[in-house]
Amino acid sequence: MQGFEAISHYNGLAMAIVGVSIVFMGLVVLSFAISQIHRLLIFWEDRDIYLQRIKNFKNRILNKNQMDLTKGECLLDDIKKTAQSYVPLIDQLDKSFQLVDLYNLAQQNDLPHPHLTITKFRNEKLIIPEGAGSFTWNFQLSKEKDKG
Amino acid sequence: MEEVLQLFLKFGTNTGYYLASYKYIIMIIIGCVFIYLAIAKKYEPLLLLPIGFGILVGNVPFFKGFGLGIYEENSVFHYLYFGVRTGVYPSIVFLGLGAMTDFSSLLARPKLMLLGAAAQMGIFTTLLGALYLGFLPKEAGSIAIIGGADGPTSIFLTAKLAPHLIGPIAIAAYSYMALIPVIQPPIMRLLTTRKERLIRMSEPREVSKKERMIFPVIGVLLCCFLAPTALPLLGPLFLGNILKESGVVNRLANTASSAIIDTATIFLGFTVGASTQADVFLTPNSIKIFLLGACAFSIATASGVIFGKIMNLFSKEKINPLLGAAGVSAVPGSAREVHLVGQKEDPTNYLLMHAMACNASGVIGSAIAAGVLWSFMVNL
Repeated sequence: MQGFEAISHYNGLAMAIVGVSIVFMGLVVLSFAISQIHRLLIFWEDRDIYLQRIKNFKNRILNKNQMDLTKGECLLDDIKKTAQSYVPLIDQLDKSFQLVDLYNLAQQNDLPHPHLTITKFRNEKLIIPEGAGSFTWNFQLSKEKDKG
Repeated sequence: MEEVLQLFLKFGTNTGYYLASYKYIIMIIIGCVFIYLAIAKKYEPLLLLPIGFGILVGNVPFFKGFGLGIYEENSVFHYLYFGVRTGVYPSIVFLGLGAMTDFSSLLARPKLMLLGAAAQMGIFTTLLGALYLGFLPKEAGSIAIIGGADGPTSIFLTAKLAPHLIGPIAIAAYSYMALIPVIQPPIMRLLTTRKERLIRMSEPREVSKKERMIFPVIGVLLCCFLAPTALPLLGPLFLGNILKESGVVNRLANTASSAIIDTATIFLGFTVGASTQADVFLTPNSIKIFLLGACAFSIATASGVIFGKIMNLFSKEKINPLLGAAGVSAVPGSAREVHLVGQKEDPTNYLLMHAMACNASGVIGSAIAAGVLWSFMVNL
């Protein structure tokens, strides 16, 4: 048997089409996989950074749950809880600090509306000016508010 | 005195001079041409020299029954030929090839792998051609794999599907690999414009050692899960590569890339050459196989180049379509030819490294194609 009859009898065309498709599929998948190797390696080598980010994210969620506050308005309305969430940040600063440092820390910890909150603290006399651009935390008032 | 004369006469009838026919002379001339091409022209000497000499040895006429010929059981050559018949030598050659190959250029630019896939079109087009000419499916599959331009792969698949055709198919495959400088450049020039040949490839990114170590693991798993029948070729290929890239078994990598592949190449070439005994080799089918092989190789080259041009239609970063010709897996002959054709247009354009990426993917592609054909044909 020969000619087109042979090709048709032995399913030659189907074999050729499927064969080419399999070879292409194999090499396309392999080329995609190897194009990702270096990305995966970069991810693996920076895994500590990513783990830290995940930890931070987890902490943030936990903090948020602790505070039980999801909206900035609530935070600003409840000055007692807001002050409690800022105390760990104040502990990280010197006794005398600049507002910008507190602001940056609050942002790093993803606390909502840091600018408004700090302004509110100043209005409530929780943050007292010391002069020359320095401020201090009014621990006494803070404790009183805690008790109240 | 009469007894002495009779003994001389009897001995005389057993000599090659007495038994020779024009067919043996033709084959011996072909063997001499191979040896000439290998030594004088330096066309693939590592392969053509053992094959050419094997053709001479295999075509010394002898009295059948002495246990001398490669097809006679218990002959020395028959034992050496075992490695061809069972596909052992091609696997060993692939081990050495893996240990010698640097896949960095492929890892740096994975999309060039598509050119290696496109060049396998030659295989499947020739499959149709061989069926058209009346070959049985298993024979057609074995002939088609010549389009992969990979000697060990051709021998491996033919040993599995149509062992009686090993001689002509191996000779055709290696002949065309040796004739790359003659066959490929006209096709490349015909299918590309000067502007396309002048395209410069950007510098590939640096590939880390870890990437090179991970590649063989991913390669063997992805390819062999898709086509398990490619395992006997791709398994050793990637094993050889991980031996090289791991850096912890340099002794093994060095042995695989030198002594082992050299030994296998000698026996592979020699026994394949010796298997071309005139009475088995000089048949009308051999001529058809040579014609189909030429078509397969040309179509493979053309497919790669055309696919390169098609890729340029869709990608922002243009690639030099000449690289498609290196998608056939004739390592490193076709890559070298692409580089030379590119340099003829612009002597400062270095395409070799990029062409090697296509070459490497061609090796993987033709092994997958062989596995696919084997699985298609095994139950026919």
